[in-house]
Amino acid sequence: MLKCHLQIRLLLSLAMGFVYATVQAVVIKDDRQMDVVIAKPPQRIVSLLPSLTETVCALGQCKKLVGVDRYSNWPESINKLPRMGGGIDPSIESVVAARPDIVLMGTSARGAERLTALGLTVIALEPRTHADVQRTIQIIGKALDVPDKDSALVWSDIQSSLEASAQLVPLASKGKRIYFEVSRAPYGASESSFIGETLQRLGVQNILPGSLGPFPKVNPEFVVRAQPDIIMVGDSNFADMATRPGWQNMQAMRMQQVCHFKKEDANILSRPGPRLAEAAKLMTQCLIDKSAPINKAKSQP
Amino acid sequence: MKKHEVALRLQDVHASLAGKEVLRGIDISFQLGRWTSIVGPNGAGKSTLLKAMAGLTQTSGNIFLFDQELRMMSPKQRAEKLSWLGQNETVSDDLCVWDVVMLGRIPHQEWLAPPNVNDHQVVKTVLQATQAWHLRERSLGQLSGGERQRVLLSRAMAVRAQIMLMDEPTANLDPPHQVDWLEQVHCLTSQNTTVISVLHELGTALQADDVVVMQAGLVVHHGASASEQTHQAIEAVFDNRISIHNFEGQFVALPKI
Amino acid sequence: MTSQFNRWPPAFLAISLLLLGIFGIALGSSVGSTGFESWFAAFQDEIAWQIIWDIRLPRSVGAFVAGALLGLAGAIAQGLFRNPLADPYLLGSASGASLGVAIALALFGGNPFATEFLIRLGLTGAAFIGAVLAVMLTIALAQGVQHTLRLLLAGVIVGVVLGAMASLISLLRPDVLQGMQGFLLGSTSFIGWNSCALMFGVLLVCMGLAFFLSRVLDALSLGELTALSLGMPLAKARLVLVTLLALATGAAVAQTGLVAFVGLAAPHLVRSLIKTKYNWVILLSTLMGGLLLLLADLLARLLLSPQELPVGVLTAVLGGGYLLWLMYQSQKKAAVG
Repeated sequence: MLKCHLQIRLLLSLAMGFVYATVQAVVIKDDRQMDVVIAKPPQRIVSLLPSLTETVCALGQCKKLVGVDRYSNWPESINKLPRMGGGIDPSIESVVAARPDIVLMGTSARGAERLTALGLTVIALEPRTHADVQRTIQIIGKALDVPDKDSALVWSDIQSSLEASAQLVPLASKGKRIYFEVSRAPYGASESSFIGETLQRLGVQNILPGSLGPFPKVNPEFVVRAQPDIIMVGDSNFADMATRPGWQNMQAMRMQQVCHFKKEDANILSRPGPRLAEAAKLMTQCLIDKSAPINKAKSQP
Repeated sequence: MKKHEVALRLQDVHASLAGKEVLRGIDISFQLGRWTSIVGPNGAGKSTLLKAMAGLTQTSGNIFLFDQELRMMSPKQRAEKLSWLGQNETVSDDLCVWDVVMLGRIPHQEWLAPPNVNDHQVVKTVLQATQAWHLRERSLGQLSGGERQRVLLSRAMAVRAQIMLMDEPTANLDPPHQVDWLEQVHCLTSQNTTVISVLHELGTALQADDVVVMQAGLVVHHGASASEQTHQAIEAVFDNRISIHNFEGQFVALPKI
Repeated sequence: MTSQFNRWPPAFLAISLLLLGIFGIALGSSVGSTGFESWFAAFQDEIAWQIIWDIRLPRSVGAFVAGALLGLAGAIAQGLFRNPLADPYLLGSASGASLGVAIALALFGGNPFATEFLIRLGLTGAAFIGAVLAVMLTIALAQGVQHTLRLLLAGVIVGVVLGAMASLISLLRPDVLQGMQGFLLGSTSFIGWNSCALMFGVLLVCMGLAFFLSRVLDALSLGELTALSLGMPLAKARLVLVTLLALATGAAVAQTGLVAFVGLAAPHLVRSLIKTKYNWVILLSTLMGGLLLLLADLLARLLLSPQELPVGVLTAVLGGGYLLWLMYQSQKKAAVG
């Protein structure tokens, strides 16, 4: 009789344990369309993509990071963390040695199968649009056992900040046509890129239509012909922009309607992550700066 | 130039290839207007001797071309007086036969000058002499081994040099064309051209006026091709495995089985 | 009187290629971000006229001249090394140019003093210096230009090592990697009139000297020793020819980036049409190379307008495609007869 009682108790606790475990376990569908099972909330995180690193920190889980890739550089606190290679060339050994509970990497990064084969839990995410950023925050929040309302808060904060920036854009700047140069071939950011989406939120137009793809390699004469009102570009590409044939005659160049961003700011602008709002602030400041009437701009030294 | 003058003279010539001494002290002179063939076993240094005489390898010692030191001559001067035909030189297939033979006229042309009437005539003459005139518009790549060799011979003859050095000139040639070549050589020597050829085919070699027998980097004999000492020297250098016989005024080498 | 079995005399071919080139340039000034449009539209529109004159014409002319430089370098390389697989990038010039660009991009926007200097020098200047220094390194490694095999080997080593260094810089600096992409696949995007003038000057000098030395290349085709026996000054000639190779390749690569296949294919295309001596081969390879790159550039701008394909991809497709067809033809001929 006692034996029977004990057996029932054992069975019950086992059952409860099982239920508890399954309740704890989280299943995530990542960008590889694979189901990833996370048995318990991760305490040690390795991130191999800067935007994912920033997302982890935005969700308040920064202290759980034990390793990052060499390109992650925000916030300051992660700069003390060991570096584990880059997206294209992650250092499998360092990642494994750090004994992470979860590894976050981009879908275009190499090594996901290797790390999985070595027994690590890998989530592959590569945000490319605003919607992707929202989804990434949600997914990582779920994986790290962050309460749903907290992750939702991160996104709504970004949204309200974007809204606020949009309000600050001067009326005269609304509807202006922007050319955003990403790299010197030249590659531009079109309407369908995350940069284009931000510009759209701020109420300005993009000379590169979304049909060209997010980051098309354009014929430089297309830019000249389109006569953008404002050009946004990084410092290093701006340095010799005036030497490009035909460009010195562009109205935007002659009227100095060019915003060139420092390298640190260029990082913010080029990462589709939680700092979207910061990027929007930079672009807004640019629009405000260049909104002074044309003749005023001419008379400036 | 009178006959019995020395066209080419070597004095204590040494040459090394990849650290190994191939010519170990050659003293020899070649008379004007005679045909000399150089024979000997493999590795005796025959090709190297020919290259040394053409000024194409580093040598120590002295080489005199008509009493002028070879070293002191400018490349152009040397090229006008000396024509060299190598063995197994890789030749690109792209040029046509006529252009190849015309290249032989380079030593006599001004640097940027196009070929003149005389050049055209020479090319025609030498191509006809080797029965290759009908091939003049084909590219080298389209020719058989024998045809190619005849074209290269023509190229060497087009130089119209006073001294001709030829390494295995009858390679790939079938018997009728070998006879053509023999006739050409006689024609050349009758015009006071000095011909020196390396030949492994003893029957052809014994058609020459003189024979130089080489072994292990040294000249072991230099004498008339008809003389008995020459025959004995040749037999000796080939370990007496061949014997030389007179057959209707010409000499043949037959194996001693 | 040479080569009457050729389908055309060389002069005829040269003039045809030149005319095709001029036609191509005229076409190129009509091809741009809006696809094909004629000059007539331009006469009404100030901006369009500026675009044609400031952007499209120099690009098209530049493509032709750069292709000409590469074709010339290819002909010299194939004659000098007596190898039909030789191309202008053999002596490490391509990797040297990449390294020059990588270093320049890495320093750009950093130190303001360096940036100022670099703007003046331009990425093109950095690429040119890189190419020339790489070839000098190859020659030093091979201890002179006289031993062809040693030179080729040294060229391979220098190419691999410098290329690896450029890759390393790109890896450590992702902004450099982006900038290198355009360079590595080739593009005529930013060629202006100054670049054209520079390239044309180098082309004239190199063509003139190569023409002067064409006799040496002809003699070399008979074999090195035979060439020496004909009195050719091989040592001096080789040094000059290697220098011409470096200059021509460096000048082209500096402006257009690494364009594949033009240097390799142009001399072959010429030889498939005509068999002649090097004085003509040099001129014809130059014209053929120009035409090849010009055609590739036109297609690069036209196919996905207003986007641009990298021109190096198209040269590989065009040049490689034609060579494959040639191979197939010659195999068929061999099989039959």
